[in-house]
Amino acid sequence: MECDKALEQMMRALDGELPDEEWQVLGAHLELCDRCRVRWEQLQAAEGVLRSAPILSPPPGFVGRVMAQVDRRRARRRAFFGGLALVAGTTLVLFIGLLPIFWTLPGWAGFLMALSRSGDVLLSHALGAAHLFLNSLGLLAGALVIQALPLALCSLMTALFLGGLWWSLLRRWQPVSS
Amino acid sequence: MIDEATWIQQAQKGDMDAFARLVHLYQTSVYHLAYRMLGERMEAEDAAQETFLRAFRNLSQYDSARPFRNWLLSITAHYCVDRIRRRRPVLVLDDELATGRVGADPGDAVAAWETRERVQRLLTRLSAEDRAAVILRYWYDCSYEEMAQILGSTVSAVKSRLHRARLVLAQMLGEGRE
Repeated sequence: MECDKALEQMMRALDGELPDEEWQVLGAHLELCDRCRVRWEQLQAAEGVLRSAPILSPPPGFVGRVMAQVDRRRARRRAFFGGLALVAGTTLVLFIGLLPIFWTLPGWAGFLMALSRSGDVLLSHALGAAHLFLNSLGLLAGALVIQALPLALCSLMTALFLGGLWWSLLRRWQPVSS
Repeated sequence: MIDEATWIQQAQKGDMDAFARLVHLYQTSVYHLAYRMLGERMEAEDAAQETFLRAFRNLSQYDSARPFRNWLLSITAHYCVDRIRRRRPVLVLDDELATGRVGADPGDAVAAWETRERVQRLLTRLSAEDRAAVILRYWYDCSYEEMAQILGSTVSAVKSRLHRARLVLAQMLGEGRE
């Protein structure tokens, strides 16, 4: 029990937090207890070794290397978000651009067939096609929900392909540092 | 440091020159901690670089109420602890260490090298967390409160880590196992 107390005092002594009166108590214990005296000497020796070790500086050019790395990471980050924007933009443009074409495809087919036959039905079909086209624009919002999935997947695949192409080109232009 | 707060604010706004000044100011603090933790120059430089890269990326999260140095040391210590944990276990042969020491060369450089190696050998016998506590205490004069903050722990936990580490080091020195 006394040795435990002495050990606790030794630690506080090493921290510079042991009051004078407790120093005297510790000193008295160390005179009587060989085990604690040896331990105290070893603790002081370890203290001396640690305090004698120098502070080490980084090799020359360290700051420059860090800043070059920061620059590279920033460029890669910008490139990544650029690629992401490209994918998102392409998906959206393809999706919106292709949807009316798919949507009005049956109408246009009818119009083309009628055109081949000509005659008085031509006018009515032309009006019908114009109506379909205008209608398709109005129905675009609804179509986004109803028939959008296959088209969105097509757009996404194309966009991902373009994104991958963009990324590989970036890697070629700007190799990733080790 | 009068200009430090200004540099930090400028760096937070993306000013690379200001960040370079901060790297210059704290390069030794960060590198030294990394070296003492990892015990190898190349690894230490790598870890120090990674610390500054992480610091740059997370500058917006820096709390100005806290010393900037301690914030950097916290990033370094956590990174090094993780790195040590990921290492494969290395078989260290006591005999090799005992015979690997430099002979009786009176040169100052050799003496400094010997001290550095001796301390490093002692430190590598400690767990990563205990090692961090010892380094912060003996080379950075951190209080227990600062150590707890840097290591993301409690005062009582870092105190017991440091006490345990001191005993281990003292015992190794006593047994001539450094």
